[in-house]
Amino acid sequence: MAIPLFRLPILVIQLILESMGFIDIFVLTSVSSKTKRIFKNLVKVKNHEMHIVMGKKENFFTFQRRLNPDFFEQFYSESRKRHPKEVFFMKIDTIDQVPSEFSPAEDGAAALTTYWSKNCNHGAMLYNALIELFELPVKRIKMDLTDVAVKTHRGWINWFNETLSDAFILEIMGECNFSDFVWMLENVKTENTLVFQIEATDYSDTFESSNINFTFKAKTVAIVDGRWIKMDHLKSIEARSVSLFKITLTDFQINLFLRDWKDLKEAFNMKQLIIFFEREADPGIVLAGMNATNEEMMKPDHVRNQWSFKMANGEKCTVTYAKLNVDVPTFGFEFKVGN
Amino acid sequence: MSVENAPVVDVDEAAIPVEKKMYYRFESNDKKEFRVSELAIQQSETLNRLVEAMGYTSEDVENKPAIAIENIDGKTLKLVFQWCEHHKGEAIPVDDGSVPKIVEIPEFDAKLMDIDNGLLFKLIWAADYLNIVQLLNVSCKKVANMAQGKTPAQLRRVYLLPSDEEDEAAKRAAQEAQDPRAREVEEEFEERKRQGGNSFF
Repeated sequence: MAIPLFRLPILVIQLILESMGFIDIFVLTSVSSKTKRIFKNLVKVKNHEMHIVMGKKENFFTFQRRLNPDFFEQFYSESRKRHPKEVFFMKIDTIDQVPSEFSPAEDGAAALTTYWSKNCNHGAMLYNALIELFELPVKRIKMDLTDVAVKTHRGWINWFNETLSDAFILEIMGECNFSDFVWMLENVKTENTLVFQIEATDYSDTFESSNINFTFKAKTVAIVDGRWIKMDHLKSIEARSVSLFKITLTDFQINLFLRDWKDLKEAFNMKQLIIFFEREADPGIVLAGMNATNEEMMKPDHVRNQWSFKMANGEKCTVTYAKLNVDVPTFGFEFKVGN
Repeated sequence: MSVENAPVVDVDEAAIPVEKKMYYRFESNDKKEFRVSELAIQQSETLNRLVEAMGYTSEDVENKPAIAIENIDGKTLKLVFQWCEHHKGEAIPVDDGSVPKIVEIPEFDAKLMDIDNGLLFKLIWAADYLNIVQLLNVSCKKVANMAQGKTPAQLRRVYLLPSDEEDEAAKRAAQEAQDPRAREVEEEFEERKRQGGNSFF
């Protein structure tokens, strides 16, 4: 005998739906419009968040419990000409018959894989269906550009700008040529944290980068391949916290930037600047004319030196100099305004 | 511990140690009587309030008729009271507010609920009616677990879910049953349209 779900009291139906996992609900609500309507009327997802990973082979959406990340479920969307034989079909977004299968993920979490034609932006379609049903916040989006066509990843950025720019973290990783690299810098629009982990494969010192025109308004920005960064770029980043790696600015140029930064009387958004380069710096040049006080006795163990100086607006800026423990000798400064 | 070895539902007074514990007598709608300890009753908000309001003494329990629970049968009530006896003294769980909820089904409860779906359906109704929070949680979780790994077609069968077409047909049938004239008027209207009439009147 079956259990006639909709003949139970409404609060019991609610409790049953609230006790189901995301995948079970997703499949259940594809059964009929009424089932979906009842779920949406009765259940509000709480204390969970979505993480999205986009890559060449697949996109996947992880639903994770906020306070206990060990509880999670995953939805995959794959682009394939053929799908496995043992599938079932579901109506997802505007597509009636999407081949789907339950597939245990490598780490044992429950997973549902959906197979889509190559001609559609399946990641966006699955996202639309998931967000319409569960209405939960997106915590992190990771885009891996490795072997992804330019048209595809530009589509991802445009989709992100239109739909997800308030996500907590956008992380872009992988490789691309410098022209695509610049396109992304100039076009991505994120409000919170941007981690730009892309390596520009064909970058050379002869490339002209001073005309790169970007306006990051994120709260936090990290750029792993910062070889192209000029003085003016530093000034145009409006983030509160900025981390730049592999930069090629000289100690004199850094000093000039610091002098300008120090002398600013009006409020400047940037409160933390971290810069790393593949060479040793001369702190004497970097801090020349800053009236820096040596704070050797106060420095944490992991840094080589610590100083501080006073900004024109009266705030204290603490400076540390450290060496990173990575393969290539990497040294850097952190400038932190405030306590 | 198996269900058979679970704490007795019909309380044997000889089994009650040193100090005499209070118990109550209940009767199902098919006239089966149960003796249940006061501590076990506390798992049910409905019964707990009821016995508090009645203010029975031990003598009252013996001399007065058993408290009738008119909409639950003996088979279901036996399961309910077995569950309450096993979990007596346990704190009523507090929801942490997360959805989906994480509900673990203890081994005893899993065995207790190893029953056919008809009885499980009645057990859920009973747990809801008697307001036994944790029994309702685990029984709903058992029903929720039935969805795991099921395709849409299988879910239709498991939960008796009609398709959109079936829902639509049922809606039409209900409307017709309510007002048979409405369908006749609709058909007449359609017929006139087919004949080229541009006004119903």
